[in-house]
Amino acid sequence: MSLKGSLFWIKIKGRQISDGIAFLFHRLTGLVILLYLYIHFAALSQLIGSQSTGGQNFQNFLKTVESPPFVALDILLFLVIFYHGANGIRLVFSEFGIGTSRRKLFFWIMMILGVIGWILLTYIVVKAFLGR
Amino acid sequence: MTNQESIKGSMAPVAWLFQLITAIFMVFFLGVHLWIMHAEGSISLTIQSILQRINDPWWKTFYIVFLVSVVYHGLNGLRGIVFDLGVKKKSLTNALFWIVAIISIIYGIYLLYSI
Repeated sequence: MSLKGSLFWIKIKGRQISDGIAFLFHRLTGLVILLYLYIHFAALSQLIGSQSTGGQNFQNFLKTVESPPFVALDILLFLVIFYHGANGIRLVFSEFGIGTSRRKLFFWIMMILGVIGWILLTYIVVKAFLGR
Repeated sequence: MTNQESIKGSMAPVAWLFQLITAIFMVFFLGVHLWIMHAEGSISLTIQSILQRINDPWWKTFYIVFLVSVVYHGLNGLRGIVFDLGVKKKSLTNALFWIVAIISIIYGIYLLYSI
């Protein structure tokens, strides 16, 4: 396959938002979440032995992940997760023939639900962060 | 090549079926995880609450199933993207997928038992 053919999936021109572009973002957000999974593994490995050390490494870990830049990145990550989740639920429904006749409408309904979920979680996290 | 809506066309039917099953699992698992760690947890997260949870056999099972789902879903999706890029060495890609998946799951379980 040529390079042009291989990179077809990142082409936006001539595609519908609810079809090719949604799929492009689904894959990009999927890659971000997969990358985050391994960053998460690396971060959690800092907590090895917490049970025996009485949680000192946890306090250090918490200090880092509760800093403003980390909270901001968390909120961005939530957006990525909510997009991937909302579009993914739409794809599962589509697989069972649900919402296929009104694809565009279904896509936007799921996007609105995803954004509402993201705003709610962001509100809770920011409120807890400011209240600390 | 036509516009696609999902990675379905780049996967074997069984791989796609498991991609769907793990997707459904993850809506639940990730929802609970986000709620506990970031919503409710961001107010009252302590090492004691984490240790208490991961020492509970039900929560341990929850996290192991979550781990298997997320690793399979993520790496299977990546494998679909790799195939979509026109990679011809399918057996090698499949072997790499399983090796990375198994190592990731073992490491995740190790973390769960060693924190």
